[in-house]
Amino acid sequence: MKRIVLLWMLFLLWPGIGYAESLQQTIDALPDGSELVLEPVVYHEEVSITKPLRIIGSPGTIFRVDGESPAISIENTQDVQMRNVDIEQGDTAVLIKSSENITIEEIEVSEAEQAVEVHDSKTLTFRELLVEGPAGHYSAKGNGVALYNSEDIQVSDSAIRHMRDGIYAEKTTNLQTSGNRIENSRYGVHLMYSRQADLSGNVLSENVAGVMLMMTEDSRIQENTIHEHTSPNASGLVLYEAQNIQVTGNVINANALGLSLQKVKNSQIENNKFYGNQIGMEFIRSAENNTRGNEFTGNIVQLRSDALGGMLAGNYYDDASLLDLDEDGYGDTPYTALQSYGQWMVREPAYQYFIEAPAVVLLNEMDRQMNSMESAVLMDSKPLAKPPSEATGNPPMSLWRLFLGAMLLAFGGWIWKKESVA
Amino acid sequence: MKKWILIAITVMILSGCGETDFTPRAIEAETDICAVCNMSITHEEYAAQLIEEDGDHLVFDDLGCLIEHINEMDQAELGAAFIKDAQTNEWLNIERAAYVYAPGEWTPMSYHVLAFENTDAAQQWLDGGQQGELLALDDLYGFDWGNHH
Repeated sequence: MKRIVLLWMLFLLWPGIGYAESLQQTIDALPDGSELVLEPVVYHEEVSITKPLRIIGSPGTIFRVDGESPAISIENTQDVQMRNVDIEQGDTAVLIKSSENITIEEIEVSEAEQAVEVHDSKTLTFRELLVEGPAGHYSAKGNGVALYNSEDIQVSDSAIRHMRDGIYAEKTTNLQTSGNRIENSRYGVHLMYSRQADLSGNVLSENVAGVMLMMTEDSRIQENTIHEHTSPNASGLVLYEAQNIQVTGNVINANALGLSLQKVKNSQIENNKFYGNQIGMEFIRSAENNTRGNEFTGNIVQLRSDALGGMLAGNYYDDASLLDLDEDGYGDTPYTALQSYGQWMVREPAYQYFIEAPAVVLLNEMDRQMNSMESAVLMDSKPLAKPPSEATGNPPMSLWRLFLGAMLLAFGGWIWKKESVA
Repeated sequence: MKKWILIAITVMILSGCGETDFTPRAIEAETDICAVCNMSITHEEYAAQLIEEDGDHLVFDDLGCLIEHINEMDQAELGAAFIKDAQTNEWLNIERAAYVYAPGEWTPMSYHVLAFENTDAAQQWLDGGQQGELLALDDLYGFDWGNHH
């Protein structure tokens, strides 16, 4: 009997038996640079990482954290990698502060108010995030990836839906976003007071604006697909008080307004396709930017501007009535965007609902007839005769046309002579 | 009799042409956008509002946008302007509010200027350990707005 009681007391007093070690305790006990593989279980605790670590989840590793604390906090450290975990609920899924060289990949976040928030950090990589925001209006949510005062950030191959802004960057330098799909949010990518951002190969759709770029400079927006932004006040891209921005090679279609330039300077809008938008592009106090090589097809209104107009050269417009007799690839007469109604729509966007009204159609035709007499503010002196997407390297067919014309003339003459004889 | 009927009708018609209502309206977070920067107004606590002489309302997401608009508009069209109190979230007439430029405080367009009911309230906020500079409305019209140079 004594032996049994002794054994029972030993069981009670044995360290490590009687309670489970928390994940935080496990992390705290690990030496710097360790790798921790998480079990496929649900963790109901938030964790804080303040040392170099590699944390790898398993299929089924889930953090389910209520309350206002972030599920994962990474602060005042460097060289942290986290991969393959799901985070559910909570205020902020991942919070990173004052850290460097952090990689977050293959993370699925659902129902959190904000997926990732970063402050004062450097050299961060976010790859293959899958973020699904909570139900409700965007005004009551946080952002997918929110960056503040940080630099050298990559966000790639991620899908973000139903957040306020998919990617929000404030006072951030060298942000590269590529291969992301951002939908059903307020702004797909929202940049403020940032520099050297590069947005490439993203698909942005059904947001209030695909790209909202404000007070930002030295940045590139290239080869993105930006489409179906049609809600009230929606636009594909809005550039506001920006300078040295290159918008090149993007496909911008089916938006209420394709691209809006507002107080933009020294920027290039080149080789983009604007098609099927209600309004292709607008210039507001943004006359000094190069707009060339773009294709405007199937837009209800191709271009509109304030009285300052915009700088246009070498774009294609499907509503231009052009001849290219010298076959240099450019129309022989300038193209002038229909202006009167477009101007009014700048001042009062609700006027777009009357765009096919008989009076407006008549006004547009009057504009068309009077273009050569007016000093137009939206005139392309060298409109492309063919859309750039149809341009080929074949030599001109002038000789064939000449031969064909001569044959037709000879045939007509033969018919005429035959009829005269009869 | 006809004269009295005519007078009554005239009075009724004129009574419909009352004075413009300069009461601020509520912000509609789902649809309102700033009249200057076009950003949607999701942080209502920083919103501003201007009512033109003809009664039209314009809303702004940040005090800085409101001041930028006032600086550029025909002053004869300015009826009244309001800003949200940083402490109570109530509308304040900009003529009667006090202001603090606080670079450490986030605002939607990073203008970093907060409004208070009066100078005492602003000073009390500063005395609470916040960093900032007390400003009057006139200071704002020519102010160098934080990051927004």
